[in-house]
Amino acid sequence: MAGEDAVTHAEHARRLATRVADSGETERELRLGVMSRGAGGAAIAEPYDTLAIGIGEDSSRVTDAQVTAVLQATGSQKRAFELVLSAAIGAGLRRWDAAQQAIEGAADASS
Amino acid sequence: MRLPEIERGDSLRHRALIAMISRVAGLRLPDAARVAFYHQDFAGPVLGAWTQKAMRGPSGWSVPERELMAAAVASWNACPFCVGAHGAVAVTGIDRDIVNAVVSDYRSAPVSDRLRAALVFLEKLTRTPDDLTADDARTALDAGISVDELRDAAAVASIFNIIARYANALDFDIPTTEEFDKAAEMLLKRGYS
Repeated sequence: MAGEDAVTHAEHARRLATRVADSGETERELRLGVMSRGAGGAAIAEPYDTLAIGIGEDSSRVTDAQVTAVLQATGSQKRAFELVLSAAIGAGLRRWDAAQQAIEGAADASS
Repeated sequence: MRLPEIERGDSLRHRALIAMISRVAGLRLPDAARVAFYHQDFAGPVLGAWTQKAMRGPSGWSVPERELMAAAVASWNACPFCVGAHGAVAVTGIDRDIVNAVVSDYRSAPVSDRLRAALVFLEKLTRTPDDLTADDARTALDAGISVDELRDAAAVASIFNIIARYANALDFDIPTTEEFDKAAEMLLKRGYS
């Protein structure tokens, strides 16, 4: 769709961060804390902290026990799913921001 | 850990869709598609729209090249599901031996200097994002990549740093090679959103 093609990557990234902040069944502050932790940000309460760090640093080593702990703490699969996605989105958007800074730095230097 | 609600679908409509698509495609609907159907009030549809733009929208990179970048990012995240799924789409336009060589070691793989330069940038972005600098971007641009193309590649990598992570955390089932190939046809036809 032509209209969607016109939306920039930066705008898509902004919309994704906004969606994590503004939708979901978990508490907003928890989602934001998990997203930030997935990006290497400040520590949050357990069991969320261990899962968010694991997803951010090496998701291949995330254990069933880590996800189960968050499932039990949140009380539903949808809420646990939100937090898994929030941590992953934090890690991805951290990389988008890093790429943008590097690209803009190079483009500015050559202009 | 697998979440049973994702496996079976969270509404009657989604359960019917999962069953119908699996039947028509002749394979178990891959977990990536089941996640796309799940809890759509949350971030999935917004991520899907960005993924569609990055993987299928206008770009100086071909669709198979972008799929190959996704597979490479997945390999750096040790995500066998995403390596298989996106490698299978990449082979629709790039020789399978080359795709396998890139996933194993892109530095020695027989690809263009331009694509290799992009992969150097994307690997550093994936593994050590805090160390990425303007010099890294300049090196990629000097290899003949435009600013827009580098931004497109960075979008692919950022998105697959998300998808690979939740695929691992949610323990996605790994299809067979034949199933990956069938799913690739579906991904080419239907896209990501």
